[in-house]
Amino acid sequence: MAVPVQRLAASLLLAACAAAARAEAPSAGASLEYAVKANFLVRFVPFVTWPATAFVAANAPFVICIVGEDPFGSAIDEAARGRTIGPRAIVVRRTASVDAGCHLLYARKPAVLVPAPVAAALTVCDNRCEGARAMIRFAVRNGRVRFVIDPVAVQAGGLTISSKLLGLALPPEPGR
Amino acid sequence: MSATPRIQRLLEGWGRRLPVTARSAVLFALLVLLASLGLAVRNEQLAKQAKLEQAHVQVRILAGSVAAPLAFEDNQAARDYVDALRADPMIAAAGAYRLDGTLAAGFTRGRAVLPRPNRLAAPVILDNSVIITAPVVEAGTQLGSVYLRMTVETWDRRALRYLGIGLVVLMVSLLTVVLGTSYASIAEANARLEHEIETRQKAEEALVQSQKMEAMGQLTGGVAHDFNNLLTPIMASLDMLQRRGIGTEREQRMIGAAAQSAERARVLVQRLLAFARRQPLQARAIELGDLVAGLGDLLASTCGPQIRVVVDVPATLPPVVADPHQLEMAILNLGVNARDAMEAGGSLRVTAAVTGPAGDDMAPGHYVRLDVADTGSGMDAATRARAIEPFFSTKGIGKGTGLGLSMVHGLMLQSGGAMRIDSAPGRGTVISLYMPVSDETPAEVAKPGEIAPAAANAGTALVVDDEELVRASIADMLQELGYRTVEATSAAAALEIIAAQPAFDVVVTDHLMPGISGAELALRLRDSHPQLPVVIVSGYAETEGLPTSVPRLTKPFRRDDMAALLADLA
Repeated sequence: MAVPVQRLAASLLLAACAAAARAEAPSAGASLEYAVKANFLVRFVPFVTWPATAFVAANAPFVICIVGEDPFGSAIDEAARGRTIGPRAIVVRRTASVDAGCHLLYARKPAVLVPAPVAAALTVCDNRCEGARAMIRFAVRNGRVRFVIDPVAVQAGGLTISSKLLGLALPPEPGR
Repeated sequence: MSATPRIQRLLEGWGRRLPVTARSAVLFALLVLLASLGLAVRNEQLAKQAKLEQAHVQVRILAGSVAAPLAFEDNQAARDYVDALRADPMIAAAGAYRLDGTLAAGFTRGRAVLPRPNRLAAPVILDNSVIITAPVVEAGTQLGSVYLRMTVETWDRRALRYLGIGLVVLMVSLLTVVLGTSYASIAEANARLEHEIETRQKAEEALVQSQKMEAMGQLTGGVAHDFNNLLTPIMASLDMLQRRGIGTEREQRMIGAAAQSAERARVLVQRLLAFARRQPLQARAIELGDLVAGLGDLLASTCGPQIRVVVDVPATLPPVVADPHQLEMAILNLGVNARDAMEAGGSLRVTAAVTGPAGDDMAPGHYVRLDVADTGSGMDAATRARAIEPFFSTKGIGKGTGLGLSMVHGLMLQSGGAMRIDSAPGRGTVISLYMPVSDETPAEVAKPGEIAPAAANAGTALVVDDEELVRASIADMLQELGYRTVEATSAAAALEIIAAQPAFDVVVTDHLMPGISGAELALRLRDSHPQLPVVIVSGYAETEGLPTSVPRLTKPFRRDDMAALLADLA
């Protein structure tokens, strides 16, 4: 069923954040935007397929790494709490640099992701990370948190992203 | 061309094995109705099942498509996906729910409502719709749920679908009933008609047979009668020549041979007359028991030692009306037939019992049935049908005359009774003689004594006959018996002679003559001359106008017969 997904700003950012806030109670200090982004990070996981070699064991945990500055605070921990991807638990790790054993890398500063991202890791950067070839980049459109997917980077990284997720993503900006 | 009768035969065979009646036709129609009802129910079940599967597919597609919108709170995208289902008019309600059960997007049609919150449950069919729910799962992670309500089939559409089939089934049932009942009535009418045709054919055959017998009787009777008349003077003349001893010894031998042949011719003519029911019968009341018992020895000697003869006739039988001499002849004839049918031996039983009429051709009343049963070869149907025809014989040339059963049959009919044949090949033959029961007591019959010797002067006799030869031979006989004779050529002449010369002692007259008949002459003479005895000479058995009290002499006859009758008159 192919549905042309119209991107209409029907809801305000605040409304979207309020909906997210209903699900996960935001911790003090984290803005609503980052609470939503923290939830998005966790929810990207079911729509992406990693190669089997990315995990050391069949029930090894899924590791989300926050590289460098952590804008989420406890919001990301709460979003990941109790979540499982099949048999795998989701673990959030905060690291100073890009680390092996991460399956999802988030960096607020694009410079962190520029050198050589670890193999088989989904790279996500924040709104302003021009220059870094992250696979998923957050964007705020009409007051709503959205995301852009770079299919070339995904393919280069050896991952597969579900068409369902691609259908929900913003079209990549021309020239990139 | 050849297929049509074969199919017809096949159908007829079926019809015979499965008798079509109005009731079976109705039963069949009911079966058709029941079967179609069963089919409809099954059809409905299958349709629901198919709808259920269709709903399953729809709900899985919906669950897959709303996974990402639910995960990322994109309600607009979720609504777009859910609203796409509106294109299907059968979907009454659809909804996408978040993980906590709250509605993210949905639509309803008509009076359908969306549950709040959604609860996952097994699919149900409720109020003509399929209600189905499914979790939205991506990579083992539940992201929410979907709800779908799908109408199985609208009532008007279903009614339209079943209306056509229902009409066809109803028409088939009605046709079955109508055709079945009409076929049943036709079959019944056909059976009746066939039976009627069969009955009619049998009646026609019987009629043809009886007409044939009647014609044969007429012909035989006519010939025999004329022949009889011719035989009378021949016999009389030969008799006279023999008695007078005229001619040489050689000539006497020739006369004797001629007389023997004439005698045999007389017997033959008697039999033909018997078949034609024209033989002069002297029927009276007789005791059948006595008659049959007296025949036992004769039957046994006729049949020979190889055949056991059993005569079992109760003494308490009522008297019957019959001519005893002819009846004896008839029984002996049957005995001879039985003997010829049992060349390897067997048994002959003669039994009798009182019974009623054995068919429509017999007058109502009581009869004595005399059965002559043998254990011989029997007759097939064709032989049985022709058995009573004169000159029809199975015995081979020279062995039988073919007149035995014919004369028995004629005798029985003439006596007011009947003859029946019951026979089949290998089963023997039973000939049944039916004789009417008489209410008279049998008279003691005096044994005929010695014939009175011819008186020297017996008196004067008037001989009346239109045929000269017969008249002359009768006159000759009377003269030999000592009568003086006067001859008259007609009844009128005889009356004139008597009027002129009334001193006659006896009048011997022929019956059938031109003008006044012998019987009429006898009646007139009884009035005018009551003391004058009249003897009627007749070859006919017909007795119309022939008073029973008038003595009769049957043609042809010999001098001794005449003498015996005249002796009785005296």
